[in-house]
Amino acid sequence: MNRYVTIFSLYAQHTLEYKARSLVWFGIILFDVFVYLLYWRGVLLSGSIGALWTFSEALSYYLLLLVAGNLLQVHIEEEVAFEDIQYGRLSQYLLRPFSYFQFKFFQELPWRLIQGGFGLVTLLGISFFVKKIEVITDIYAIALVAGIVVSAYLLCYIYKMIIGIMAFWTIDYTGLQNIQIILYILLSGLLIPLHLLPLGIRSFALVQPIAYTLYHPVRAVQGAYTSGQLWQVLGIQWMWIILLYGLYRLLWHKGLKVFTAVGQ
Amino acid sequence: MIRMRRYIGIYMQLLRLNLAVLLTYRVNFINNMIASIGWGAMSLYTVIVLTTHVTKAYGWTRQELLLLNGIYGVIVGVFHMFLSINMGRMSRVIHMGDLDSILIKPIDSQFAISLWQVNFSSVFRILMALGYTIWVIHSMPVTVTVFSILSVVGLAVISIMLLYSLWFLILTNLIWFTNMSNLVSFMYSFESMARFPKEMLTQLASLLFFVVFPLTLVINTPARALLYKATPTDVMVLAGLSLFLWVAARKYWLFALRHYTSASS
Repeated sequence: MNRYVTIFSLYAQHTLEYKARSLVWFGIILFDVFVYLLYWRGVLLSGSIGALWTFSEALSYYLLLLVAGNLLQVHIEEEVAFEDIQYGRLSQYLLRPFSYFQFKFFQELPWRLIQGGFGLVTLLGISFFVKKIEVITDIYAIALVAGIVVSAYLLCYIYKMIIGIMAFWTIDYTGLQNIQIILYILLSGLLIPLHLLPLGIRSFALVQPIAYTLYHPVRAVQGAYTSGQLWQVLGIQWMWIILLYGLYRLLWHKGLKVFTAVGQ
Repeated sequence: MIRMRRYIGIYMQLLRLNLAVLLTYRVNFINNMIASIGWGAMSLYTVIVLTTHVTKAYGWTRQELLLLNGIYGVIVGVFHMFLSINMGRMSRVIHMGDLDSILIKPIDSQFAISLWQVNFSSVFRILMALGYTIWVIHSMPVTVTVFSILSVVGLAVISIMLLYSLWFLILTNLIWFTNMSNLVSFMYSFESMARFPKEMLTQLASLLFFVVFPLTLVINTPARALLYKATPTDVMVLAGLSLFLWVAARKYWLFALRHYTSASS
């Protein structure tokens, strides 16, 4: 375990060294969140929409999304695909006496914590000085919600690792990466809460794994689910975690057989 | 005039080289084409979803909002085809220290860094957005004349000039902050604000509105021209600001180059 603590500490230093980069990444989600909030503010306050949701709900949804988007949205896939697989740096990891999967996990964690921290400070600032944010109030459900948040991170990590190792079979990864980003934006609730999607798309969007990485955790923190629904979310998250981890292992072993490192 | 002709000649040669790259890496082109269509479709889908339950937002009807996004797709598609692809390259070139090799070439460095690559796959995004725009116009009570088309095209060119200047002005800062290559991703996000009504962004606090003000003109002014809602003041503000930012971007680039220390120092 000590070796992973060391990896975490080393990359925490790295993250702090490049905090300006983290701030820019944070700014990207912040911009999107504020644009959508402004849009909903105009629409909801003008009354040109039915009673789908209130501005207060929209505000808490998007501000919690700001934290979740920075804390839970893993961005490891590009490095895995471009730097490790396509440039051949994977060889270095294969020779080391620890798991690549776990190494990358502890490498990514500090980035998420720093960026999530920016989001949390913004959320707290707005909650204290501008408007109180709607969050879960049931003290007994908090542990369950915390479990959902941690599971969401794990699920997102495995999903992004699968996307990254697809580079074993592609010469140019950019197209796949773009398609992945589009699907993630559409199906994670980053764009619009999934319960507001048109009916046909909504039923699919709510059950696929990407929804359990952002949308469901945000709704859980918002206090939109009953205790039974929270257990259901956690259960489905773990079902996806087990399934996707199995898929990751399968692809990893198959991918290693086709991997050719270049170098001396 | 001779200088102008020389640069047109160089650009033609660059177009031919980009075409040769496209024909060599065909799978790459197909991948990028799918991604480009995907981004275009997502942008259009976003506004359809956002306006599903909405009849009006900030004084714009649902159809007008769809039209605004169609025009956004066309203008931004052209911008991505000829310019923004080079902005991504600019961040890599500065970060990896390759700017030296551009500075020693016997051509203008801003020209070389802004127009070197062409993303031909964006053509599909432009065509898709154009088809969508025509479809939306057909469902609206708008009379389209040759004059209105010409004014929209003229304003679109000025808008692209403004977008370019804004991107270039901000990315020039990479000369000092080479590690912040993710500013390019930030610019893509920043630029997407342009597809919303100008009235929406006026809700922002005055300082923030001052920052996003140029963006509010880029798509809104051509769209308003098509709907016969643009005033001469709108057009003059767009043109004036484009010219101002163009000159500012040029001067700032030349100033930044004086502080460039290259990768080895």
